[in-house]
Amino acid sequence: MLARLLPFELKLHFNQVGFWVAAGILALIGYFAASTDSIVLGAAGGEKIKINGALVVATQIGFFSFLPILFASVFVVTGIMRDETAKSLEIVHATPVSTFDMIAARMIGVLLATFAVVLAGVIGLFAGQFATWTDKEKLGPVNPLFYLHPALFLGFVNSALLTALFTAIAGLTRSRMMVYTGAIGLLILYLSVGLFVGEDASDLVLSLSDPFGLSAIQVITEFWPAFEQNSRLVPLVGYFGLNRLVWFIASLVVLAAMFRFFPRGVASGRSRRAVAVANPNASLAPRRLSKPLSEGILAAAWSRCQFEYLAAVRSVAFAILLSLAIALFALTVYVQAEFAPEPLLPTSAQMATAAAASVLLPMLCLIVFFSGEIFWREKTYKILELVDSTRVSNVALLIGKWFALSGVILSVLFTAMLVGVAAQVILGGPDLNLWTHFQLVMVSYGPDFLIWGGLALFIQNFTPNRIVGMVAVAAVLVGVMFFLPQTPVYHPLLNVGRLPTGGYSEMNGLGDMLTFQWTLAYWGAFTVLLAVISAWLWRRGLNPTFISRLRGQGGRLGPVTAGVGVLAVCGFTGAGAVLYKGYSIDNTFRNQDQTERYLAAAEKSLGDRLDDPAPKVRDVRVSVDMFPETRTARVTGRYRLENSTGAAISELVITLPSEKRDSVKALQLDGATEIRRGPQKDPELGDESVRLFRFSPALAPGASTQLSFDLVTPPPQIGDDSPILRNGTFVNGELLMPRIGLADFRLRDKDKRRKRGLAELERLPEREDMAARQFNFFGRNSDYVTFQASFCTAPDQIPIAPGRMVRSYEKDGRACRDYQPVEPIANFFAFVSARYAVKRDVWNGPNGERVPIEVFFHAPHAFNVDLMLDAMKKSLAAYTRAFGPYQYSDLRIMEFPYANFAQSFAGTIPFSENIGFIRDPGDPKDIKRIDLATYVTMHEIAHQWFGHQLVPGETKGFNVLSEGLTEHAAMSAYETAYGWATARRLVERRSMEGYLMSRATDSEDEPPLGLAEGQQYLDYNKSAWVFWGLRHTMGADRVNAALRRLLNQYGRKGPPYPTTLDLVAALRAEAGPEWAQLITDYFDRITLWELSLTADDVTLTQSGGGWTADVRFAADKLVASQETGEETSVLKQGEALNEWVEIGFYEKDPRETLGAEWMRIERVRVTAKDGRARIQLPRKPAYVLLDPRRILIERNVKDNVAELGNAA
Amino acid sequence: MLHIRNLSKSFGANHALKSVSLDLKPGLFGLLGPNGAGKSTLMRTLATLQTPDEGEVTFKGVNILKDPNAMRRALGYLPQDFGVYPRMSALALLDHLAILKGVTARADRRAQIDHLLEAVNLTSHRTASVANYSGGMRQRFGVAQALLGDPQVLIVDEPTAGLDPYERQRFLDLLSATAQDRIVILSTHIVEDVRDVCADMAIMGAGEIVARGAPEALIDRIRGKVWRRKMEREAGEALKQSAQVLSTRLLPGGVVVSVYAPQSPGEGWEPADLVLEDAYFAHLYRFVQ
Repeated sequence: MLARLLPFELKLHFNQVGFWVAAGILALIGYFAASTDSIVLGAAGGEKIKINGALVVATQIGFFSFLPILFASVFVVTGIMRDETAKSLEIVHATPVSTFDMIAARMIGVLLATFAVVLAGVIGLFAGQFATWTDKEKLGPVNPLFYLHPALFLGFVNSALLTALFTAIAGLTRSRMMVYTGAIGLLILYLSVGLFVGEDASDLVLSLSDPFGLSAIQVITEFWPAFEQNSRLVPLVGYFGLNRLVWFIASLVVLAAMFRFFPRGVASGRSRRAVAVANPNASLAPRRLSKPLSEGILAAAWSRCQFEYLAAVRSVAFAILLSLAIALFALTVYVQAEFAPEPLLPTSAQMATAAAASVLLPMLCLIVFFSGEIFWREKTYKILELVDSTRVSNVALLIGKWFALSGVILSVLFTAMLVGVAAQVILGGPDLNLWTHFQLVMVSYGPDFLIWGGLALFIQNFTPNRIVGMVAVAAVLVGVMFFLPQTPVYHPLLNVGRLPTGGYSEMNGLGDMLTFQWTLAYWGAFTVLLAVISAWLWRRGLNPTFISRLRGQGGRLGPVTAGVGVLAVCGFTGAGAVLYKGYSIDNTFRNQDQTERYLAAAEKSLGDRLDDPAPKVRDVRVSVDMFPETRTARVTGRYRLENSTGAAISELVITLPSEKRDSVKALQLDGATEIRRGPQKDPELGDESVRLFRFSPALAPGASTQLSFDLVTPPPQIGDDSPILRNGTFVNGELLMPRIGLADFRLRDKDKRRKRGLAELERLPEREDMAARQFNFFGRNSDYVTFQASFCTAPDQIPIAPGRMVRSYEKDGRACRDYQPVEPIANFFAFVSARYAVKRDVWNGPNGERVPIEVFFHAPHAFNVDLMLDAMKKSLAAYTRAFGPYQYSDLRIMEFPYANFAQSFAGTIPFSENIGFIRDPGDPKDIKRIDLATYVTMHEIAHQWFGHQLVPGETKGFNVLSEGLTEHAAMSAYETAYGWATARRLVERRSMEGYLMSRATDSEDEPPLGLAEGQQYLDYNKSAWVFWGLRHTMGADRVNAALRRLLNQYGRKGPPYPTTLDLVAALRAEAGPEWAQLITDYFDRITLWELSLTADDVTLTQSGGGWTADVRFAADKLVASQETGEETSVLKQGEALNEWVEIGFYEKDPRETLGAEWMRIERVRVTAKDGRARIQLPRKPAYVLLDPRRILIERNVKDNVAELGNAA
Repeated sequence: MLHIRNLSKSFGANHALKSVSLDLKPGLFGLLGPNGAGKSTLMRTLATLQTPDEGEVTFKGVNILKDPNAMRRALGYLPQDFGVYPRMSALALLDHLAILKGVTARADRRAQIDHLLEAVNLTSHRTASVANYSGGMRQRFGVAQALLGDPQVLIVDEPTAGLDPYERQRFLDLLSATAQDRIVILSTHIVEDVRDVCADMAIMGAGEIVARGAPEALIDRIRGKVWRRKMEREAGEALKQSAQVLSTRLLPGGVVVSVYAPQSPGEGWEPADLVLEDAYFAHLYRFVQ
C-alpha cells in the first residue's frame, strides 16, 4: 500500500508552485554563491581555500540543509495536514488504509520533496563552478564526491530530522499555526544555541548540540590547514558521524512517537455547537437609524485595527515569538554575566542594546508571519465575502491592518524595552535612564520595523496567497538586510527601511541624527505611498486580477487618499532628492563595488606617486579650534619639512582630510605652486583631498620648507558625518590636518586585485633592505617630530592633545589648553574633547621619576577608573624595570564613545567606553574572567615602549616589534597582577585559539612570524604565544634583557629602524644555543608540533617514598610550506628531532585548570618520534599531560592527556 | 432598479455566465438552477466580489462595475458558504460588521444588532462564539449580518443548504419578511425554496437565464404538456431515448415517469398535477421554447 500511495504524494508536491519556487531559489543561490562573491553561504572560498574544495562545499551544503526550516513546514502542511485544510479528513480517515501507511507515505513524500529542494541547491553549487565568470584561481579540481557526501549526510539527514519534527507537530496538534510557529521557534532556538552551550563546552557537547551537524564539522575541522580543507571529506568517524547518527535516530524516535500517538479521525472536543431555532414570531422589519450610514473610515479602521491587533496578540504565535525574544534576552544577559570573560556592566545602554538585539530575529519572523496572517485573515477564515461586500473603504481596511501590524510590532518593542529596564533594576545596574532605553529600543529600531511592516503588507497585497506572500516578504527582508549591500547597484536610497542612527553611546547618545531624520522622512513617505497604492489596488473580492484592480474593481481613490498619495510622492522624491544630493552630489557615496573600482582606478592613476620621494615632517605647530556645539573645527598650523632623501624633490602630493573644496581656507607650501587637475589625473579622482605641488626650484637635499594650512572641518552632512561629536570627540590628526604624501589606499585583497585587473601587490620590503629601514611604520613622511598644539573647545569640555599641558586658559569664552611634549614624538596625534570627570594620581618610579597619571572619563562611568589608575602604575613600574625608563612627562587615558578599541599616542591614550570603562572586571580569583580595563591599559601603555620608543622599520615583520612585543609586555604585567593561571587562560583564549583558527581560514599564505606583513593573528596572537613560550623556556629575564638590548640600540632614535632580524638576534644572544632551534621554529618558519599519549603509555611504580613514572609518547615536528600550507615532518626533510618537551603530572584533572596546579613538571629532550622519559614523583599522580604549559605550537592537544586510574 | 445586461464571465474554458440579462425590482426574487449553473458567479458579481468579462450592471442608474461602492452601500450579502473568526461572539462580530457597513452611531448599532439577534432568535447566544453555532444558527447569523445597515438589496446564495426542514422554513419566513421594500435575491438549487416564497423567479442553466417569470406563470407555460405514468424501471430508462423525460421517480414496483409532450404520449399516460419542479425541468432542459 505504501508503495502505491507514495507516487501520489510525490505528484502532490511536484504539482505545487511553492516546491518549484523553493527549488529554483536554492538552485540560484547555490549557483551564484559558487560563481560570485555576492552570496556567501557560511564559507567563502578564495585563491587559497578553494570554493569547490571539500570543506567549503560541505559548509555551504550544511547551510542549505538548514534552510528547510523555512519551507519544510509548508510542505508538511501541504502533505500531512491537507485533510484538515481541504476538509477531507472524514473521507480519508474513514478509508481502510492503515495509519502507518497513510502517514508514512505522506511523510516520505514530504521528506523527498524537502530533500529534492536541498538537492536543487547542491546542483546549483556544483554548476556554479563552471560559470564563465567564476574566478578560475578560486577553483580546485572538480570532485563530485565533495558534493554527494555532504548532500547525503547533511542534506538528507537534516531533511529527515526536520520532516520528522514538523510531521510530529502537525500530527499531534493538527494545527497549521503550531507547525509554522514550531518552525520559527526552531529557527530562533537554533541560531541562539551557541548561547546555551557556552564557550567552555566540551567538543562532544558542542558537536551534539547542533542538530544540523555544522558545529560538529567546525569542531573537527577547526584547525585544518588549507590543503586539507580543499581535499579532505569530513570524516564520518568521530564527532560528525556521531552527530549524524544521534540526530538521525532522534528523528526516527520522534516519528515512532508520532505514529504511536497520531490521532486518527475527527479530533474530539470540536463539537461544542450551540443549538437554537429561529424565532417564528420575530419581525425583520428594519429599525430606523438615527444617523445615516456613512463611510466611517476612521471608525471602520479603528474597529478593524482593534480586531486585528487583539487577534494577533492573543495568538499562540505571538506568545511564542515574544517569549522567545524575552528568553533570548534573558539568555544573553545571563551568558554575558556568567560566562563572558569580559562582561559588560548592566548600564542602561547595554541592557537596552541587549533587549533590542534579542528582538531583531523574532521581530523579522513576526513581520513575515503576521503580515500574512493579518492581510489574509478574511480569506483564511472564509469571511472575505462578508467583509468585502460591505461599503467599508479600502483605506479603512488598509489602515486597520497596517496599524494593527504596527501595534503588534510596537508592543513587542515596548515589552522588550520594559524587560530591559526590569533586567537593569534586577541586576542592580547603575544609573537607570529610561530615555536611553526608549531611544535605543523604540527610536533606533521602531521606524525600521514599522517601515518593514508596511512593506510586508504591500507585498502581501500583490501575492496570490498567504504562503507565497510570506516567502516573498522573507525574501525581500533577507535580501535587503544581507544581499543588497553586496550588490553593485547598492545605494543607501535603496536600503528599504534601514535608518542609520550612527550607533549609540552613553557619552554622546545617538549618532548621526541628520541622516536619520531625512532617511526617516524618505522611507516614511515611501511607506505612505505604498499604503496609497495598496488602497488603490487593494485585493478586494474573490481572486481579483491585477488588471481588474487597475480598472478600479476594488475601489477608487478618494480625493483625500489621492491627496495623501501626492504628498507622499512629494515627500518621497523630496527627501530622496535631499539624500541623493547629500550622498552622491555633495559627497561621493561608493558602494563596495564602486569603492573597489575607484580604488583600482586610483591606483592606476596615482599608484606611482605612492613611492614618490617626499620631505619629512620635522616640526608641527597646530592650533585646533573645535566646536562640539556645531560639530565643526578650524585647524591652522604649519609643518617644517626637510628633504632627507639625498636627491632634489620637484613635486609633492599633499592629502587633505576633506574632499570638499570649501574646507580649505589656505594651503601654502613655501617654494612650491599647486597644480590643479593635471592631465595625469583621472577625472574621477579629481577630488579636493589630493593636492599636487611643484617646487620651483626643486627642493634640494637637506633643504627645508614650510607647509602652512588653514582648514575647516565642515558640519555633519548627509553622506559625510563629522568626526567632531557633541561630547566625546577623538580624532586622529590625519582627520584634521594635512598629510605629506598619499596614504596607501591600494586594494589589499588578492582576489579583488585580480578581479580589478591589478597586479599582485608587492610584498613589504625584506628586512635586509636598508632603504626601507629609513622609514618607520607610522608612515614614510616623518621620523620623530617636535610638536606644539593649542587646542580650544566648548567651555564645558576639556581639550586634550599629546604632550605636557603647558597652559590652561579661557579664550573667547572657550576652554583652551596648550600642549608641548618634553621630547620629540611620533608624527601621530590625537585630539580629544569631552565633558570629563578626571581622576589623578602620580606614579613615583624607583629612580625618582614622578609621572602624573590621569583618567578622563564620562562621569557616570567611574566603575573601573581606579583599576585603570592602578594598572597604569603597575605598567609603568613593570615596564620601567623590564625595558627602561618611560620617556614622557605625563600619562593619561581619555574615554571616548562608540568604538571598541584603544590607541596609544605619545603619553596619551584614547580608550573607548566599551572596551574598558563599562566592563565588569569580575572576581580577580576567577581565572575565567578577563579584566579588560586592566589588560587594555597595560597593552596600550606597553606601546609607549614598543611603538613609540622602539619604532619598527617599514619591512616584513614590522608589527611584531610593536603589537607582538606589546602583547608580551602586557601579558607579563597581567600575569604579575593576576597570577599564572589567569594569564595562562588569557593566552589560551586570546592568542592560541586565535592563531590556530585564523591561520586555517586566512585566504592569504601564512608567512613565518618574523616575516609577518600585518596579519593580526600573527602580530598579536602568534607573537603572544611565542613570547609565552620564550618566557617559559629561556626565562622572562633573558627575554626582557634582549628587548632592553634592542631598545638601547634603536629606542628613541631615527633611521635606520629595527626589524625582526634585530629582535631575533637579540633573543639569540640572550638565549644561547639551548633555545636557538626553538627561536628558529618560532620566528623563521611555520612549525607545528604533534604530541600524544595514552594511559597505556604510562607505567607507575612505587619506589622508596615516592613513585616512578615511565612515560612513552609520540612526538613529531612539522614544518608548513609558506606557499601551499602543506605540512611535512622534519624527519622527512632529513632534519633530526631535538626538542625539549615538558611533561606534567597532576592529582586533579589538568583540563579543568588549563594545566595549572601540577605536582611536577619535568622537561625532557626528545630525539625520536617515540619519546621516553622516567620521572621520579613524590606522590602517585592521577593524570599526565604533555606540554602542560603549551610552549609548543600544537593544534590538537586533546590527546596530550592521559588519566592514570589503572596505570599502577 | 437593478439591471443586468449581457453579463458574461469565463473561467478558462468554462463559461460561467453567458450574456445574462435581468431586471429586478423590490421583492423576493428566486434564482433557481442546478449546481454549476452560474448562480454563485452571478451573485458574487452583483455583490462586487468578482468582475465580469463583459456586460453591465446598474443599480439605481449607476454602473456598479465601474463604481462598486454604489452597490456596496446598498448591499446585504449572505454567501453560499462563509466562515467566522474563531473565538468571536455574535455580538462582537455583528458590531464589527455593522461598523464596516457604515453604522457608525453606537446606539444605532446596538439597537440594530439587538433587534436582529432577537429576530433570528440568537439573543440568548449572542455572547457565544459564532464558530460554535450549528448550521441553522450560523445561517440565521448570516441573515442578521446581511441585514445590518438596512440594505436595499439583499443577496442570499444557497442559504438553506444543510438546514433541517424546520430551520429551512423559518429561514424562508425570515426572508419573506424582509422583502417588503427591498430587492431580495434568493439563489438556490432547491425548487421548494422558490416555490414557497418567491413571487418572481428565473431559472438558470449552463450560465444562461432560460426562463423568467412568476412561478405560476412558468407552470402555466407547461400546463397540459406534462404527462405521468408508472412503468417498469427498464422501460422508464428506455423511454429517455425517445421522449422528453422531465423526471423519474422510483417507487415500489417501478418508476413514475414524467414527460413533456404537447399531446398524450399514449395509453396509460395521465395529465400531471403540475408543480414548479415540472416547470423547472421543462425550462432547464429547454423543452419549452
